Amino acid sequence: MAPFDPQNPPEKQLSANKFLVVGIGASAGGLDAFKKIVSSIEPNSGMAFILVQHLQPEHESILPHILEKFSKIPIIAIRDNMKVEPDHIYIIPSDKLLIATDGVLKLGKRPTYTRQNRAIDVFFTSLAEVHRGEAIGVLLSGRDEDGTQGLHAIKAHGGLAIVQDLESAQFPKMPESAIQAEVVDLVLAPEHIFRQLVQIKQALEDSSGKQKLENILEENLFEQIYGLLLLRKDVDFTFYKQTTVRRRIIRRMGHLKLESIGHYLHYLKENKEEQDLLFQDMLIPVTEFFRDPNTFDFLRGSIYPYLLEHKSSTQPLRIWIVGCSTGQEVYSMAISLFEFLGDDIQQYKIQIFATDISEKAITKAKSGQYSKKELKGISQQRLGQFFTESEGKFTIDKKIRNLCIFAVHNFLKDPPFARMDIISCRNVLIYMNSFLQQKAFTIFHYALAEKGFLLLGRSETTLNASDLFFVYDKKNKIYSRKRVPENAPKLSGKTHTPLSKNRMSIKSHLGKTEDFQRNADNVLLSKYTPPALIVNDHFDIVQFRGATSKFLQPSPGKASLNVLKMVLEGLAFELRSALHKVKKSHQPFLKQDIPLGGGRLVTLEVLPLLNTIEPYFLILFIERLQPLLLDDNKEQLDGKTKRILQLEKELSRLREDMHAISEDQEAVTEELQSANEELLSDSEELQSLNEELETSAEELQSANEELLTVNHELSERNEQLSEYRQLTESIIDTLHESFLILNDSFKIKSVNAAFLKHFHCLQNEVLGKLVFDIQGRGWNIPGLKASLLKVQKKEVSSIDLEVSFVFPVLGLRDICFNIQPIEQSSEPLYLLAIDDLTDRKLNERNQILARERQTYYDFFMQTPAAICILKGPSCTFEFANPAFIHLIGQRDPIGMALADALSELEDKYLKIFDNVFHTKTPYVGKEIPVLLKNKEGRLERKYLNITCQIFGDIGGQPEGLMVFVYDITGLVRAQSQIRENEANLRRILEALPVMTWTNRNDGMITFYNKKWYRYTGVNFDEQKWSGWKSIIHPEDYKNTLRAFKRAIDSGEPFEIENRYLGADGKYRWHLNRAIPIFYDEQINMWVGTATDIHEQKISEQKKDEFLSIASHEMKTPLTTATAYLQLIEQNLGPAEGATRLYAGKALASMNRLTELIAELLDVSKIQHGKLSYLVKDIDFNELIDEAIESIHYVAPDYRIVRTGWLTKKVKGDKERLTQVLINLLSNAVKYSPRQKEVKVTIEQRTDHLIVSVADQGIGIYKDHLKKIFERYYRVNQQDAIQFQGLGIGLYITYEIIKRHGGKLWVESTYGKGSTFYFSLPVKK
Amino acid sequence: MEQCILIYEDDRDLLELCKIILTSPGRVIKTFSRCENIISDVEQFHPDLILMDLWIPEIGGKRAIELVKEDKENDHIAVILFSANAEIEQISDDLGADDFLKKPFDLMNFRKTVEKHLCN
Repeated sequence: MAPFDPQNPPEKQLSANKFLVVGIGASAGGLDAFKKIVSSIEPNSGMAFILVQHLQPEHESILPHILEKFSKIPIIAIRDNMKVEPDHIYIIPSDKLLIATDGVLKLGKRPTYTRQNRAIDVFFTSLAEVHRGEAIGVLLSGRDEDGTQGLHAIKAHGGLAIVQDLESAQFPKMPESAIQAEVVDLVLAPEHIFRQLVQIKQALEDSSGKQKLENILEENLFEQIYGLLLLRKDVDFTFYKQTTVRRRIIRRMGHLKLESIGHYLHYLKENKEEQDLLFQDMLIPVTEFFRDPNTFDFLRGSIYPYLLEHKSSTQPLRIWIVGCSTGQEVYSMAISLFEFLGDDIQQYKIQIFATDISEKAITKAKSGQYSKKELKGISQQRLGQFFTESEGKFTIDKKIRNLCIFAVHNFLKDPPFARMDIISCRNVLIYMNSFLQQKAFTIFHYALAEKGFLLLGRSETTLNASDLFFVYDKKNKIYSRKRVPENAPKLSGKTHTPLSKNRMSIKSHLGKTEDFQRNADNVLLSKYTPPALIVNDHFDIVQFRGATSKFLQPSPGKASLNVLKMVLEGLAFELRSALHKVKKSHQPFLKQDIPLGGGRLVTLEVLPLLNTIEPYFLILFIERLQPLLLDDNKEQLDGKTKRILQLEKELSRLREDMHAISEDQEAVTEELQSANEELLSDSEELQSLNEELETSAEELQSANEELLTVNHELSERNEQLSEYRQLTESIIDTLHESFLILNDSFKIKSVNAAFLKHFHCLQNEVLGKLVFDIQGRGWNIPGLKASLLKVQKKEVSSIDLEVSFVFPVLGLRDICFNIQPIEQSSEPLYLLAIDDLTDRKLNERNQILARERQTYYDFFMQTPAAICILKGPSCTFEFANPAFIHLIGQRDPIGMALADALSELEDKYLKIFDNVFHTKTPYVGKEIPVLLKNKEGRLERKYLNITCQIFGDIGGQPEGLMVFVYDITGLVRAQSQIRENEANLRRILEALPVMTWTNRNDGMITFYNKKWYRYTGVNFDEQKWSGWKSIIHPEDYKNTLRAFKRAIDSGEPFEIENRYLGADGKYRWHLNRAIPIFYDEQINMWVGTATDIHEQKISEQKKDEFLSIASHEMKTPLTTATAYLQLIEQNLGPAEGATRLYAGKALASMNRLTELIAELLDVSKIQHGKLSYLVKDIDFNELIDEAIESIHYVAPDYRIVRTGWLTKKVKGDKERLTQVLINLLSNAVKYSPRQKEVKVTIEQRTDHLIVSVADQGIGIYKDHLKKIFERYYRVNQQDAIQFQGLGIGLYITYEIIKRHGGKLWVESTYGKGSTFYFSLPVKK
Repeated sequence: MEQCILIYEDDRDLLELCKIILTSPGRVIKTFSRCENIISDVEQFHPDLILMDLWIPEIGGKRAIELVKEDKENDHIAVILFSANAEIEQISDDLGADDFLKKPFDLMNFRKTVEKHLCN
């Protein structure tokens, strides 16, 4: 067997075992729970239990030894590969991990790398995978979260998950984690787990097991809900009538729109408010005033008189309303009593106790306020008598209210009241099951005084407790207490835990089975045992055994079962001391031979009955007759006898005395006891009063707490305030701006450090003074007072006052005062912020000046204009900018006179400056040619624009001259260059042998050469604008103008052939060419030539005409010849094979000839521009298919692959475009003799389509590519010579595509093939 | 009743050829190399179909057809133009001719076209 690896567990198989395997996991605090579970496991359950406990790996586990003591079935420590059998308990060893395989347990090493122990998860998961529905996981106390995942796995495989309830778990973290993960089916106390498991097993074995199991699970969910309510409200709903309670729960679920109880439980756990709501809902506060009025009539008629008959003013009439809800029942009772007694009520002491478990209801009941609707059962008369109305609310009168004491009280759980005359518990028991009712009756029985009455609701009876109550009045459900001398009801603080049932046997009241053994015992007991009594702690007789009448006699007075009162006088004393001794020592006591007179001697034996909750005592009487020996020797013993008799008499007297004393004592004891009882009940009352006080105290406390919180908040606020204050002060002190705070009379209240520093004064010099008076009354600043007053009168919210003022120490300053009122303070204060602007203003002014100066300087230095400033009449250079320095050949003229600095300057220019200076008239000169020395010292002619004017004024004389000079030499030179170029051009144009002209871009003719005038015979002015148009042949007019316009619009050269009218009146063909001349990327002018091509043109026309006619004429005989050949072919029979072949060949040649003639004709037409087009919408896809088909017909061994599809429309001549395709395809076929595949691809773009025809043929050299679309061009390649053709196919194709507005181009690699493309516009 | 076809063509070889092709029993074929007398020809022979060459002396095929079409009584006569001219389709449409044949024509096509219009 391979060792087990926890990281990689072996493949799990489903178990064949068919018994339940219960995995039980626990960590810290698990031992106790283990013990409880193990001790509850009964043999033959048919289940196997496997315990997984977190253990220290270092220590060997002694768990098996510990648990052995508690177990009724074998306990085994697990070894590897151990087989699992039912009715065994298996325990994990300390240092191992455990996994389950098919019925066999395997151990693995616990991983040491992790501190966390995951043993339970590992085991549960394997258990789930193997045993699936048969796996049950139980998770007990523990401190980490191990097991949650494991339970998840068990649930996921259909198993059952149980966890220990959180109350009993020592460490609830582990079960809590599982509960929170919502993987838990049942939450149980450990001791009940086994019993539940047995039920589950039975349920599973049953045919309708599934349903039963679900019921068990649902049951548990409800119990969890009750558990929550118990925890929160301390009220246990387990024994309430389940139908009602569950209806309430389902009602809440409906409210919350929750589907399952599981969901509701989850919601309830999360939501404390819902727990309260559910609790309120469970209580069903239904009540009204004078419910069942007959009952109250009966109370008045029979019960009150009966009860009050025995009451004195000191004995109170005590009534307890159990489950009083909102108090209607209570007040009804009180009112009925009041009505019964009338004003006599003062003479009685009435106590009505009203209790309920709902705090809310009790609060309302206490208030005694009801709405009109709630007062349904109250008659108008009663309403007036017992209620006062205010604001639509009716409040019960004080006189009624004072009769009632309200308390929150759970009568099933809290100690009951006692000595009640009436207990009214109407419509409470209906919500409880018989077990709880039983309990309630026991409590009522106890609480009622001897002759007390129990009042029940219409549908309630005491059937469950007929041994405790008589039916007093069946119709009105009034019962009276039976006197049953049994001990008090079993009362305990905690009656039971919610998750356990059946622990109290209710069967004791049902039939008693008697058998013979018991009969025999009874006979023996009655015959042979001495008479005996059993008494309780108070020495009241609870049982008589045998013939005790010899020793007892009823005592006169109030009937009592007290043994000390009933026993014969002679025995009373001895019995008392015996009982007290036994009570103290718990040891049996024997008093022998107590004389009883008449020679009876009685031996008393008192035995404590141990093993009972309350002490009981058994009293045995054994009687023996005294032998009368004295008669025989009367005389002998006379003296002695006399003495004895005397002594006996004395003794009996003493005994009587003693008896009297003891009776007195008895009476005192009894009184004490009754006083004690009264005290007890009084203390109960005090308790409920106390509770009322308690609630008031609590209210006070909560008020107090609120006050505390408020107080705390206030003190925190205070602290914050003082913090802010400190912060503000420190901020004000550190601010550079000066502040003064003035009070309402403008005295300085506060001053900051900056002020003192700035105005050079001390704090004590200014504080408390009028602001105008500080610094020796030096602050009498104009406008300041007015501004302050304005702010004071709230005319403005704040004010800014800027003044220039001579301050005492500082002198003249520009100051801005900002005055603002400080609103919050009780006394109006004013903040006077003082901003000294003096330095800032000065700075600003200086900065602006500097900036302006800089701007001007930068401008002068950077401007391309040459600027200089000349001073004085001698015109001395004061300033010259770089442009000026550049102008004068980089000489530095500063400080020199103009005449010296620029010695080359001609006198006439010096005079200009002199003139400006003296006449003060500015001078402006344009394109002044001046000779100036350049860098090399050579003289250079410069053309200058000069502006010169005076500036400044010193004693009527100008300070100097400002001179601006623009060097325009370049401009002047360029203009003259252009003029020269134009002249040259005209000379050339004149010299040309053709007619020439130039025109501007707007179309105006600027020049014709002489040849033009000579040919046309007109002068320039006639033809300057549009005159030239008149000499164009009318047929050519439109085309010429269009071409001319297009050229001007596009700026491209143009070329057109047209006819001009000569001076001889005849038209001659001319070829016009014009090209644009650019200047600065603008068309400056057009230069055109018109060459006479008349002779050429005519001869070409003749040739084309000839070709046209020739080919046309050839067609007719061609038709005839072809038709005859076809006739021949048709008429030849199949036998004449050779002849048929010849005819076929002849026909093929004819077809070829036809094609050649057609091509020639087309070319000729293209030349004439006469190739006509029939433009229509065409189906281009079909066109391509047809072309491919017809090529296929001619060259069937070629594969032509077409891809692409056109969705847009094409306009064109179908026949011509077919011709294009056929041409390209037949070229492709023709030039690819070996590769038999041609690809035709159509590609559709937005506004055009592209068709490509690709072959893998011989390809074309690069230098041929440009020319192949030319007319008569044949590719002159070695390998192309073999192919026939005129070299006009591509030319025609090119022309057709061009006419359709498309393009034709080719890509080719020599030796690899060519691809021809053409594009055509498509309709958008 | 016999069918009658008039053929106008200036090329005698072609004229002859057409006659050969179209000749069949129950069909009268008249050939002309000029067309100026077309009206009287029609009156004389009452043809079912006229085959007209476009370039034919003296008045030309176009004019000749126009003359025939002027008379509503000739509406039943099918007219087929034949020519080497590329624009024959357009001209045929303009004249209201029933069909056209482009030179050089295929024998089968020629036969088919003629038969089609005779049937109608």
